[in-house]
Amino acid sequence: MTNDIHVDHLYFRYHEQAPYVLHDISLTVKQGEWLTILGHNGSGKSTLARFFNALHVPKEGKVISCGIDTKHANEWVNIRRQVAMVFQNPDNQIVAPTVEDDVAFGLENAGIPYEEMHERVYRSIERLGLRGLETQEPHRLSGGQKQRVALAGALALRPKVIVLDEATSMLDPTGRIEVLSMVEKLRKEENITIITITHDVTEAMLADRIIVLHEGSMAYEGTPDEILSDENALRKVGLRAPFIVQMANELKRQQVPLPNGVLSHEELVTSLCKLKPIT
Amino acid sequence: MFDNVIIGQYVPRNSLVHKIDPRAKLLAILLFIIFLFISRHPVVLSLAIVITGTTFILAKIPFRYYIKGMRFIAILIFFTFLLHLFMTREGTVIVDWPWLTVYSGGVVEGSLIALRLFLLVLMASLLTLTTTPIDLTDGMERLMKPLKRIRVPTHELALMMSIALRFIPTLLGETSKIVKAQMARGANFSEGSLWKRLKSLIPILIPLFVQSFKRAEDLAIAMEARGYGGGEGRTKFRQLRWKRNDSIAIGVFVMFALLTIVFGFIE
Ligand SMILES: Nc1ncnc2c1ncn2[C@@H]1O[C@H](COP(=O)(O)OP(=O)(O)O)[C@@H](O)[C@H]1O
Ligand SMILES: [Mg+2]
Repeated sequence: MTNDIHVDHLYFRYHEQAPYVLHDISLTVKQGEWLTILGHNGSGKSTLARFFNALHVPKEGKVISCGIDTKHANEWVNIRRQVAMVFQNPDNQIVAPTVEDDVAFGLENAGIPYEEMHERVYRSIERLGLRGLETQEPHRLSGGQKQRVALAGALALRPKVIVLDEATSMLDPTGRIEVLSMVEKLRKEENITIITITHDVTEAMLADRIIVLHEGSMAYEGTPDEILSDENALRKVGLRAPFIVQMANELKRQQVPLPNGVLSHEELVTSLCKLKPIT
Repeated sequence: MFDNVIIGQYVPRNSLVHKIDPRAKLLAILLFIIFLFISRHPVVLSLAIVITGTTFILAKIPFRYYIKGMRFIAILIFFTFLLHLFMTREGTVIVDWPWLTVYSGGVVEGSLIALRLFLLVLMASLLTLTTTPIDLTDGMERLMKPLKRIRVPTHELALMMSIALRFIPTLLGETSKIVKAQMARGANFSEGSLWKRLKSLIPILIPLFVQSFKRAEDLAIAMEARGYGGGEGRTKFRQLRWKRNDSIAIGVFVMFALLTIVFGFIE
């Protein structure tokens, strides 16, 4: 396993006088992994994410993306082609007046020849289920569709990593599922490393690994089972455990013998059903 | 409601005129407008009418689509006509009332200017009715390319146009949202003196501006994240392909220009 992103003792503040927004962050993202960075608003998630594709460059500490140190300014464009990013507000990241033009935007910037660009654009559109919307204008799309356009634009660049900075937080539940299932698919079928940034604990369940950020420091790191089932730890960093976890813990307090690490609806139901024969 | 803004007045049809390259259309219109105002020879004018008429028929767009954009201009044409009618003091006197004299030259002059303006507006409408603003932007960018050598930022201008096209509907949507929000708080935009109504626009404009700056910042970051680094070394997804019909179209208009010059000498 190679590492796609490596952050080493990163400190960051926006101005000389401002307080540190990031404190001694060290992390590694393995290739093909799905990492979630979880934290409440203002904990520094977006700031951290922008180091991954050299939108921010460290003064203190080191960030290596896809094997390239982000301090080299002449590598930034190259890094951004490998570490694509989808942002929170679907309206503020679509640049071009039609879907296909927007998907092509990154490829145009990269100077990809027309024939190849054409093929890649339509392949990406196809992959994200946007067939038939090629010439549609962005303002006519639903939130979920807009974020899929942004994903298609990212995918067209054939990146190694896609970073989603709260990309689902402005969507309705349908749009959220729409986007997350696409992300899941891209990871499986294209073997793209996924980093999702979120304050939504239920979304964090999908990850292989979670890093909890609190006031700019890494508070916890672990699997969703470990992190999300610990109500107290989550409360300390200003987050609430998923509803199912809260319910399972409450049941346990009421002497119902449930196993540890119940995260989803299905798991809770199965565990409860297993209880039946005993009573 | 936003249709008219984003696609301009574009009316999709499967016609010869629609398929002409935007560069050819822009060049043709330019030639037409310049030379239409040079000659007043009847042959040239009839030719201009024939060309406009033929293009109109080929475009297959019903006349009512033209009317929409023409109401204001029709008034303008009418007043220009009147102005020339009353101001020209040539030829024989046709009407001689104590407060009004009209010369035959005025009728000729007024009709001529009205005809020219009408043809011009019809041609310009034909351009916008058969070409999407995106294609127009594209065409303009390509045509302006030579200007790059004298430091005209053609790529940036085109990008600005295209971003404007992208965001105008979004901003309009936002405006109507803000208007509704302010109305729900009791704002009144339709009553009171002009001053009062202007003042009531402030609570709309301020949130709109604040939002727009936020948007601009987000967009700039998104563009940077997508590797945007100016026009240098950029390829284009939109390709324009010059076809035989484009050459023919341009040919027709060049002929028109030449004839105008020839008849200009005969005069
Ligand atoms: N451009 C900026 N200039 C100054 N301070 C900023 C800027 N962007 C964010 N911050 C500050 O950095 C902190 C972390 O912000 P951010 O990374 O956006 O958090 P999150 O994405 O977790 O909500 C916040 O306290 C915020 O006020
Ligand atoms: Mg954020």
